[in-house]
Amino acid sequence: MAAAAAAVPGPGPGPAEAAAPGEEAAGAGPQGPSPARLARLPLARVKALVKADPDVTLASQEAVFVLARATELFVETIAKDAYVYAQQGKRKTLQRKDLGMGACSVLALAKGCCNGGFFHLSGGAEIIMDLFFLSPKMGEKNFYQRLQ
Amino acid sequence: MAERPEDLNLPNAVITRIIKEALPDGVNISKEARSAISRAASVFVLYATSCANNFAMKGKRKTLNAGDVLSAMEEMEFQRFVAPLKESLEVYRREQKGKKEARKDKDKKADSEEQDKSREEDNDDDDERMEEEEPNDEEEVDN
Repeated sequence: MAAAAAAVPGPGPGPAEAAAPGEEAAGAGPQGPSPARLARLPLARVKALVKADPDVTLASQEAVFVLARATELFVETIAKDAYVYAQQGKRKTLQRKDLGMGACSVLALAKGCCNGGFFHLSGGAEIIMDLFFLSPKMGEKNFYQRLQ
Repeated sequence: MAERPEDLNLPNAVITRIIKEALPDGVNISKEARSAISRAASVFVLYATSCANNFAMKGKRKTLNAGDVLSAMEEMEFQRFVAPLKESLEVYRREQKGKKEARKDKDKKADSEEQDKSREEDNDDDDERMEEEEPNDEEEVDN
């Protein structure tokens, strides 16, 4: 019964790991599933991802903030969807296999992404994630086309 | 060997915290699942950026703004994010405004104090001012 509750968060050694004090909601509002609060993800890291796109000239600070918040909502959504599948498997630990199927949001992401048919994929979350690391440079968008 | 964009990952600890808060108590997540979600999150940012950028270009703008990101969410079939995002944006704007005004007040105070007080005071004010200036309001992402 080694359902290793070893979800011990590793000491993630990111440089800008914790959200900078200035970015956390001072006295945040109601503690709901997605309270209207400030971002927990460090804006600097999100900005780095935005800059990775060669087509992007400038992004306002607000845009980066909204992206960070959206990403948090995205993570929450995936986690909750995955939980449903884990429950069906009578498990209390989410595993990678729970993600592929439950991630309809990820599929929508894969399928939809702007210009509809930007790329299409047939394998769910796993493929997106593997591709992410196959691409030599973030700038090369042709890795999307390789799929078609 | 392809360069792995390791530094484009989002911090593990924060991702883990977000996941845990979204789940009921007692539920855990395997390291692999967590890592997969983290990568998916990075990918999400990339796609959302690209999508938002299309809207900016349509509007003949060179700067991505918050509205573009919101439009991207709809385009990506994440309409249900739009309302909570708008709320968060309001909170953020208010806070930014608050910071700006606090800084203006501090500057005014610091100026008048500098004229009256001694060096020691100056040093204190300088320290305070440095902290205030770190979150650069006008800063934009520049390629």
